[in-house]
Amino acid sequence: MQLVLNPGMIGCAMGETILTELDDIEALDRAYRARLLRFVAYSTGDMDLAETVVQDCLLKAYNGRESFRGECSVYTWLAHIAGNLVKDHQRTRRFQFWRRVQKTGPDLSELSGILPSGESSPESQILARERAQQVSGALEVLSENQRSIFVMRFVDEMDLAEISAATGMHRSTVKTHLHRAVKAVRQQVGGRV
Amino acid sequence: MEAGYERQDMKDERHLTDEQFTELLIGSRPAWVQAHLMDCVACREEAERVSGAIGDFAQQSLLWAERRTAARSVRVVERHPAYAWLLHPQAWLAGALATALVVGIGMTLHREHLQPVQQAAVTAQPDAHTTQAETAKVQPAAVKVQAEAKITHSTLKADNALLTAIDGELRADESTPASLYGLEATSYATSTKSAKRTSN
Repeated sequence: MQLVLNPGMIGCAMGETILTELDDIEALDRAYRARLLRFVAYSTGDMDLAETVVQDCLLKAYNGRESFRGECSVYTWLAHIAGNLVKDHQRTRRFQFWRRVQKTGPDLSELSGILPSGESSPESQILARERAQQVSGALEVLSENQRSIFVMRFVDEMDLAEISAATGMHRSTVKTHLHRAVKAVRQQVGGRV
Repeated sequence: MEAGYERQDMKDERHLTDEQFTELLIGSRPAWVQAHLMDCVACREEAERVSGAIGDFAQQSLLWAERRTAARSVRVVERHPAYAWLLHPQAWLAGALATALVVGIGMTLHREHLQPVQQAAVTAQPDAHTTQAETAKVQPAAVKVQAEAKITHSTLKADNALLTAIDGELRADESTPASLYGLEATSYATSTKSAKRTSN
């Protein structure tokens, strides 16, 4: 007897799994809040805004879970919602006002001030923190698109197709932003650029 | 294999270009790039340095996000069915209390609203009655006044008559100084005239 896999059956099962995950708001929160928070915080450089956007994003995803078609991963879908929410917030006058006030750019020092967990020696921890601060400093001078794409690729480990789906950008545009971001990081870290 | 990589493969003395370096960090690692990194210490050290820095950054950002997330949890109001509150006895009690409160307040307000209207009606209706009553009262009063006026007029006449009679009697009994001294009025007058003549 030959076992034949039916793609329709697999798709149905995957859809049910995703819908179950989306139906449980607490599980959704546990699974994706940290990633979303990191993504939005680095994309905007605004911690309070990041908290608000992540909260809104999870609620929006939960309330609109029936519109999720399962064509991409849940995190890609969430990142897409979060990106749209960030754009909405940036359009508001209030955000633009405070952005003008904070001309020094996003304060990412809080993020890079956390020491990694301590299997390594104190010296290597300090060295790691300095390197992370260099990357954080490089991100501060990037555009928001470059920053978010950099975070999606190197922190969230999304591939180019997922980033393209999340941002709505063409793959080549994603690559261009990524290239500029990597170049800035290399300059900050002390590469041959 | 891309054109840039082929050139790199042919010229080992050259380092990776920016685009190639980005591709390398993204994860595209063809065999010739691996070979170049084995031979080129500068590119290898730079790749290790940059990827290590990005890794440290990712790790620290992950720790930061987890700490922030642990401090907060999602505040979601779950959408229960509309009849879910009926399952709780406290809801029934609260509903009964709320209903009693609403009914009590409503009745109080209704009473307060009705009282001024009733008072106004009560005060408005007697006005009509009093007008009629007053009209009825005014007519006898006028008659009374007229009667009193008649009484007063006749009384005045009687009084005047009485006073005239009294006056007449008094005049009849009136004694002049001359009479008091036994002198007549005429003699008194003549005596006065003669006194004037003598003085002249």
